[in-house]
Amino acid sequence: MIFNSFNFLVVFPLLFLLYYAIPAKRQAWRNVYLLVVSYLLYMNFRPSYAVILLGVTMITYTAARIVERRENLAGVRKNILIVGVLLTLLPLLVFKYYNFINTSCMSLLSEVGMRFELPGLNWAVPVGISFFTFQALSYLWDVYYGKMKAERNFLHYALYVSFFPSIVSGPINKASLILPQIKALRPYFDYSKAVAGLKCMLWGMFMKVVVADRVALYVDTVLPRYENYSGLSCFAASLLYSVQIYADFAGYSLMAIGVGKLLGFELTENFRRPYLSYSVTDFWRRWHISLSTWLKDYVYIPLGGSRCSRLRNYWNIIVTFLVSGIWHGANWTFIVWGLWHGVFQVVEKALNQQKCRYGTFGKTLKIVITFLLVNFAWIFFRMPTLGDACGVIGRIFDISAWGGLYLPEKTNTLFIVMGVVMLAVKDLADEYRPGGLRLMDSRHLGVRWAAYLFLTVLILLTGVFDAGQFIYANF
Amino acid sequence: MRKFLIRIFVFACLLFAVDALAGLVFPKLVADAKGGDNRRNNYICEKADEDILVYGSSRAIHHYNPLIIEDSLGMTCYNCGQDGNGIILNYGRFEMISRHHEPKVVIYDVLPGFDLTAGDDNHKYLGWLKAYYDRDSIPQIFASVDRTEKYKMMSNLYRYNSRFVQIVSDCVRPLQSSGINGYRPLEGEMDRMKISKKKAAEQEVRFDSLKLYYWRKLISHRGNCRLIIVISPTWDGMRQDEYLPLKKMCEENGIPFINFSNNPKYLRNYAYFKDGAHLNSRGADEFTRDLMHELKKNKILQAE
Repeated sequence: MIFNSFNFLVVFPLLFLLYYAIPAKRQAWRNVYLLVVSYLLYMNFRPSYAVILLGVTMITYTAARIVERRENLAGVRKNILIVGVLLTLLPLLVFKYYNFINTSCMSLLSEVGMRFELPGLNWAVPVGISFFTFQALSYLWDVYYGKMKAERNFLHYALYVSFFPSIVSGPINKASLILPQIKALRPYFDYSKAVAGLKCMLWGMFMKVVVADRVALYVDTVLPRYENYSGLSCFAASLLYSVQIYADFAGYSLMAIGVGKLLGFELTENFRRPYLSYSVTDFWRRWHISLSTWLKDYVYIPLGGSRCSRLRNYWNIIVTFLVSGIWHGANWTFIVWGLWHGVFQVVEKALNQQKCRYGTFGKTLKIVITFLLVNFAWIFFRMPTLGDACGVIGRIFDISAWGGLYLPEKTNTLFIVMGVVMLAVKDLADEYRPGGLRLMDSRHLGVRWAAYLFLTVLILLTGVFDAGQFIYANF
Repeated sequence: MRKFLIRIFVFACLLFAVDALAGLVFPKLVADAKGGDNRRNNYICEKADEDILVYGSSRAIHHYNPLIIEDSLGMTCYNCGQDGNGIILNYGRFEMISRHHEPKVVIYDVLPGFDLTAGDDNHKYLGWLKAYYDRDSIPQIFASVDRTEKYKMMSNLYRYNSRFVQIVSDCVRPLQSSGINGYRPLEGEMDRMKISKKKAAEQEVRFDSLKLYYWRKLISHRGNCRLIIVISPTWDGMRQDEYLPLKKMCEENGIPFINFSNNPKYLRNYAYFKDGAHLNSRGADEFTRDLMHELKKNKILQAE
């Protein structure tokens, strides 16, 4: 069940009230309740996929327990880890990558004159499979590296993997953050945390339905038929896609964090105003933070990180971002997107441009350049094939194709401008004047409530309320 | 917890008050629209009494000149086309008009994307019906698209969602006219730079069962009204398989099906088009005359 659906808005208040109807001292009951709710909501997508979720949970739980018990047998521990990791990854590989590997191999073999065909799979990818698989793997590795003890209580661990606010699109929470919160005796109700949670949900909803889904109307008109639009319109659509994916994904993450807070949990921060980054390296400290942390901890550092030769370090960066691209989807476009980010980070490192030692003008220039680099990478992310992505970029740089800017009907244009400007002002204020624009956090009750009411009315009046899915739910 | 729940309740009351206020203000503004789409929509749903009504998407609005139709057939005509809309909206409008008037002829301009094939989110076709949700048979259309709509429509803010700026502007200073009997000609010629050199990949055609359902309803509820299905010219032609189920329905029910989509006179003729999907005013006039000629030649309609 997705957060911007009408069903969720009806069901969640009931879930919330039932949760708090359980006395705080009955912590175990509360956890069982959350586990049951998490599975039921997940089964709402397709009941059979809960089996995969349960399978991944059981494999990593069992593997971690065995790894911990064989503390003194390094070889056995490693073998169990490998088996556990492979078994955990198996559903992800089958559902998400089988068709891609199959068709890639077939086209490669047909190039050398061999015809070899395996049947394709016509199964939908289970929602959130990449997220819960990576979350479970992080736990297994943490136990293996001795960063945490294996969890003995299966229900606690199952709740960590399936916790409903974050199962569809993250954040990818570390076990060391969530398990202690599940095990500890949470207070009956934390008023300030619940209010903070509602604020997160409100702003997240604004980002999703007012900004992302409105901007999508422009993007989805221009980019699929980019040949029919001027280079300027294609460029505008690419800029708006950057806004869309940010508002969509950060909006979802905020709502997930908000739901977590309402239930008394703290989830991982996932976005920190990424388009104000002064380098691609800085961008990855602010964009999808839970994934970049995961990649750093379980890919980059095990490869050697930066404590190795310069060339080896560059290689490690490229491999890490290649994994990031593959994680996002089984398509060459995602691989190029990942490599693009990796290559530009290597270039920044080689030119010593990862940090910003310039004045305001220099920093602004670096922010604009970084945004444009990230923006062009998003074109690969958005388009269905490499040919289409190159087509859009070619259209943008073909001066002869520049013509008038396509504008949707006036009301839509106005709503797009309004949403983007509000989002930009909020991010700029949070970045450069954290205490300056405090409408929802004002000391004055009237200002706070006026801000809540204004935002809610704006969502109802200008939001796009179709059956819009979150982009990252596809990953 | 108690403080939290009380504050949530107070907030809900405030929101309810704003919503109730919107429910008082917006219907009045819609009814008082001086021009633009709201005035046009009001006219179509409440007052349209012409002999011939043209339905369809933006291709209907820009392709059918009612003045030429009136001159040619001696009957009054109004163009009820609506940008980006198809059979779901048009069936709703047909039902509302049927309450006060039965037209002699309905000319329906079909665009498979909006009228027949699957892929779109059908919520988008409900937009222009929201203001008329209280009318007979309209709630059923909403329920057929999404069963939760009846709950969402309890909110006046949701009911006027995405339209409030246009409602205010149409009431204070309309940004566009209601058109010439609903018709909005497009001026200028097609920009040759924008022509795609790449032919779009052919995709498998999937039909939307809900859209087909409303076609069946329109055909069975047409009463004594003469229904004529038309596909107006497109710059690059149209795939035949995209409208096959409708063509079959027309054959079964004796409904004329006139197809100009691959007519050589218009195909890739820059002089007649504003863009790949829309004729300019010159093309629209020419096409309307050709259509009238076709209708008379085949004795589908005669001048009165």
